[in-house]
Amino acid sequence: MIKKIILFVFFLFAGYACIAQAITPYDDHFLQELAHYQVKDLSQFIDRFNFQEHLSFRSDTSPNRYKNLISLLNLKDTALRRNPNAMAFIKYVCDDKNKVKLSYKDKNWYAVAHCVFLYRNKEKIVNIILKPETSGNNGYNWVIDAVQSDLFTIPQNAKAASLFINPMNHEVNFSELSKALIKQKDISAYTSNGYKAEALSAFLFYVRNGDIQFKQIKTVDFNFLQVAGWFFTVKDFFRVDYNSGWLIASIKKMNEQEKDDFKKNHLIE
Amino acid sequence: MTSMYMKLLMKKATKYYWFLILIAGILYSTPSRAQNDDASQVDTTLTDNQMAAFSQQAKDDVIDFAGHVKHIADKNISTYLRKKYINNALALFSDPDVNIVEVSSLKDPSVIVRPSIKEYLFRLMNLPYTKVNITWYNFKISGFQKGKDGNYYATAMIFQKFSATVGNTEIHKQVNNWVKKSIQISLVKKQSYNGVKPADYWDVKLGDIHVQEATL
Repeated sequence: MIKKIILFVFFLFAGYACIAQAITPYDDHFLQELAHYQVKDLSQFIDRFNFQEHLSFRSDTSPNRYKNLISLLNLKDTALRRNPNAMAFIKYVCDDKNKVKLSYKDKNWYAVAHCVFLYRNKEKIVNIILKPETSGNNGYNWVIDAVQSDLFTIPQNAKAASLFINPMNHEVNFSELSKALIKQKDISAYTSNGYKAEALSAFLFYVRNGDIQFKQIKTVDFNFLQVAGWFFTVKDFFRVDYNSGWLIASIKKMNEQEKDDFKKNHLIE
Repeated sequence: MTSMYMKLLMKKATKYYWFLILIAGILYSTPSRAQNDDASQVDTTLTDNQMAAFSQQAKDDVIDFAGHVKHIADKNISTYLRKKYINNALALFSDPDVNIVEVSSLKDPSVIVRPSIKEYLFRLMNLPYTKVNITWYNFKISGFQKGKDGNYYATAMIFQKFSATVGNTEIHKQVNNWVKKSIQISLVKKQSYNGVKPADYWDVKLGDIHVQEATL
């Protein structure tokens, strides 16, 4: 049944593109249809995901949530199309018992803004992770939750074990501390065992001081962790194709423990 | 005797008629004003009907803006008229000097430039094309979401085909782009003073714009 639906929608999209291009490339009718099918923004993605907006195809009069969800996959990605998890996920979402609905006010979803900064005349990528935060007046806003960049990670030194300030060095005005500060490179080796570099504070400090200059946000994608047992990402595939706009780029099975680990390693500090 | 007393009373009442109306007006307006002030401090949640009305207003503003952009780029319209369209378009924005248009550079598409709305519209008027044609294809507005500041925010998407001719008819280059414009919309609570009492109202304004282009 599901395979039939996939084939149906896939050929539906492909068929339309072929017909339109056979008449005249990118004629008004094709562009009209393109604008209709494209997932124009994330709110439309959420509406189609929740089946609040019923996507109807020209030759098909019975919209349903399966078809909506299949149209939300990045069908150009063969690996995703063939991924058995993709269909298992759609089946799970479509099962009314599971009551899967996305909402802006959910807590377990994140945006990742892939930014380009200039640091010492070199371009550096900094991923800024944002999450929605509700306010007292029942409104919400996006807040910076974490940053990821090799700019803020301290490389491990193999000789770190031999780098320390000896127990009696305080008697000589911490001469070894002076040497470490002059040498600069290995300064992190002199911190306590429990020290963990906090990238967000470093980033805020760099920006405030003008040590890194913002150039642009290249892309934005979203990580959704609120569907029980599942994780998926949504990206903007802006292209001249019916299957375009904000689409699911990847789907993974993930239990709560794995989600916590994922958040620790990728989303929060 | 009684009728004379009544006549005197009526005469006095007529004399102070305007004064009595003024007192009654003040007594009547004071509680409603206090109620209004309380409401502005406590509850800023809009009803579904209000939200639908503001969505319609936002839609109208975006359609107006799209129409103005088409006219501003049209080389067949006089510069004087196109400047008028620019002014009309700018009036739709919350702050045309601060609101930006984020668009990829024509010279290098990997570089994003951010002129203000004002600069963008003037640049659009002076584009080095001999003929410009903008066709709108689809329009969508998201629902309003309440922000931390109590104001409401939405986004409008508009699709266009931009085609332009550079050079004369013999040597010309045709530019055909599929353009998506995402426009920020804010619904801001403001207060006006109508000479008697302050009154709250909601104002729909357009904000920053993000432009994505793909070559057709």
